[in-house]
Amino acid sequence: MVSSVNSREFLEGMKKSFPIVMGYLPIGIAFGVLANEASLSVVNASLMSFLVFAGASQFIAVGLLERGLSFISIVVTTLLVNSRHILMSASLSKHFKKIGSGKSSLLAFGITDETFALNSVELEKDKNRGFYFILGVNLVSYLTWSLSTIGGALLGGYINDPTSFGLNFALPAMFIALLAIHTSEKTDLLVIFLSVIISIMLLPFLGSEWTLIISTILVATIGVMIKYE
Amino acid sequence: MNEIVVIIIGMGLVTYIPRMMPLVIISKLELPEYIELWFEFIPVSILTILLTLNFISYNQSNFNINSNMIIASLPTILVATKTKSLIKTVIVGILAMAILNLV
Repeated sequence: MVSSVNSREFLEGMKKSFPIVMGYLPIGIAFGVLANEASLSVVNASLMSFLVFAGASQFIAVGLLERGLSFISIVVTTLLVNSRHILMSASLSKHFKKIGSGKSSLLAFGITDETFALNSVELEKDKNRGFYFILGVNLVSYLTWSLSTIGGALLGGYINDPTSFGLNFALPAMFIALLAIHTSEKTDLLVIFLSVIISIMLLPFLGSEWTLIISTILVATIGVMIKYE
Repeated sequence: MNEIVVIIIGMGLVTYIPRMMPLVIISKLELPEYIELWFEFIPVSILTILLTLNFISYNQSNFNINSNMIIASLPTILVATKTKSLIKTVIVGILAMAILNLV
């Protein structure tokens, strides 16, 4: 049974997703257009967004498909690009103690960089939020991504530059807002500082995917060491 | 079933499993305090690095700084710290970038 509290939470999650909608819309359309140009059928392009729901890896996969790469290389690349979700999933786990395995497995499908960022900060801010809030966030993000892919794949060449209109700044702006909402202690400022420095130092050697993973592991470890001093 | 559909299903599986396993397994465990603390640092760190990677990229042995992103972030940071509002911040950010795109 869905009580009014639950539906209010669900609606709140949907409303909070506004920045993700603004950010995913142009990227989803761009992905559809690109997939179309790479001669993926509209059905296959949409299927990829419905079943994978991970932007960066989908763009890479289309590039690899175009070059005629095999099943194994595409799937392994996808696994590597998306392995950063392990850290996000692990870090979200503390909010899922009261949510059963079935429901958790359902919500886990919707973990992306952006839903992770939004859910982490919003669940920390209001501990009463749970399954329905996350469902609202993840569902809206998922539908935006898949439906805009269909749109882009259908319209194809009729769209000029779907990333204009300033929408390419929707997601960075959301990250800025979430940092401002979350940051309350000196430790947070130190974490921000360390993350910037370490990621810039590693970027030339590791590339962006691994820089994200390794820098996060280093920063969290330094954070724990400082707290236990 | 054609080959592309098989590839897409494979991609879906290897994307879903890393998203699901830690969440379902770790939420059932009683973790030592220092591991829970370690997890607590992850959101802010990932947020910051995602943002940094929007501003700076590295190609052909050169750092490239996206100056429009940096300029647009100035009013955005101001609104974010003053209002702590997600919606207001994002609208100001989009408008700032839209104006920069026109210039």
